[in-house]
Amino acid sequence: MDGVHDLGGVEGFGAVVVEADEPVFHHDWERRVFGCNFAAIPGGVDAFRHAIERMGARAYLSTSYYEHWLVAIETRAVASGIVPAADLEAARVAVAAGAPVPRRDDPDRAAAMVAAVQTPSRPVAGATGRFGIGDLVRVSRRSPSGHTRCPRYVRGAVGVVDALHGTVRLPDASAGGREVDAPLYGVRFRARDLWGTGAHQVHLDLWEPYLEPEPTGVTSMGEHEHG
Amino acid sequence: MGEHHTEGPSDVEARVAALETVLVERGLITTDTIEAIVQAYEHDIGPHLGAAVVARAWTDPDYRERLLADGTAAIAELGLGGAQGEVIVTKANEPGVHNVVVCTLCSCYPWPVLGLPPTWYKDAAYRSRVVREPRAVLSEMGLDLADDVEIRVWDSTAEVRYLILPERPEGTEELDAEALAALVHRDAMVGVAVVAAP
Repeated sequence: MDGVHDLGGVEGFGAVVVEADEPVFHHDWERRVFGCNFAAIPGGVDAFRHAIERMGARAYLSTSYYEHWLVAIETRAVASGIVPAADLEAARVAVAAGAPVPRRDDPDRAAAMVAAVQTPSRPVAGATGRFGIGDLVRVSRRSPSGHTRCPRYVRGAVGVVDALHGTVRLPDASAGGREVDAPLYGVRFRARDLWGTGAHQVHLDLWEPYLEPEPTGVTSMGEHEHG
Repeated sequence: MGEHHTEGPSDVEARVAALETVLVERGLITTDTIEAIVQAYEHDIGPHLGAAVVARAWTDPDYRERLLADGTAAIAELGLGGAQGEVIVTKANEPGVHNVVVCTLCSCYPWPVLGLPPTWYKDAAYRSRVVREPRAVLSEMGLDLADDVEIRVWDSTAEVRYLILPERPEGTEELDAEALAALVHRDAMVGVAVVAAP
């Protein structure tokens, strides 16, 4: 979806503000939200991101990162049917009135989770797809209403394939609970093909359904480099 | 909340506590899992891990080669990897080339080697601007690159995570890997800074 989360190239946000000696978390509730994200709730990272993308443009820009997480976890818990919305609301009313949060521990389970998040894993890279290193590709102008990881700022632009990442779960499908795998490519763009100016390069990782073949040297921008 | 509960939870705090309540009651997570995970990311998983990777690459040319060829595998050699780092690609800064990482769509970041991202990395200003005007953003953040340095911006739009291998500063020939690692900081591994000589 063409949401406000898709920020690449948007102007008007001003200077980057750096907080010196920033702590990992600023509030205890941020710690709890972060931890709650490791709950056994159906739906993966793509459903998580899509929930944030649907929270509304004004809400997205006016709330903090971990408030986004809170929305994502609430949304997934309710949408998956694992937590009725009414139960969540009842718990909120109770907590606001002073009810304590229940405590249940399972040291083996806690240790297993901490180990799991630090265990190197390697997805099995499947066969590569129709494009090879050095191929010119044009990013589709398609503007899907659901979740996508194809940012607006590269749509319609021509780039060069410079990495093959194998076959990877397609987020556009996964966010809705469908399992579709597609080849994933690293694609290099020239700044001036994205912004009309600039000498830098921008690299993105883009799935094959986002890409169309582009004939060599025949583009509106003139001749393209291959190197 | 009654009118006298001036120190009661805020709306967000109440929602978070409610969420934790229903998740714990249903056995979807345990309280000590929440606390152990927070403890791990607050104290154990941070940029010092990435710094060890960088220092190893600076002191072991074979390792550097492996790191740049297959970052995930080379980082796993040091026992590192996991959530938000299932695939890690390392890009080396070198004379004339400077790399910098962003996620314009959310805030993807290589947790196993850098820990959780700082607020500026997650903020709209950095995410919107660095793909468009990286030289200006880097300059504002204190890194002035020569005009002839080529900037390569890596927008983490998929599940590939990027770690920048900074250039080893001059005058560090006598330092061992441990001393070198102490020089390497988070911002240099995101690419918004370089590693200064001691």
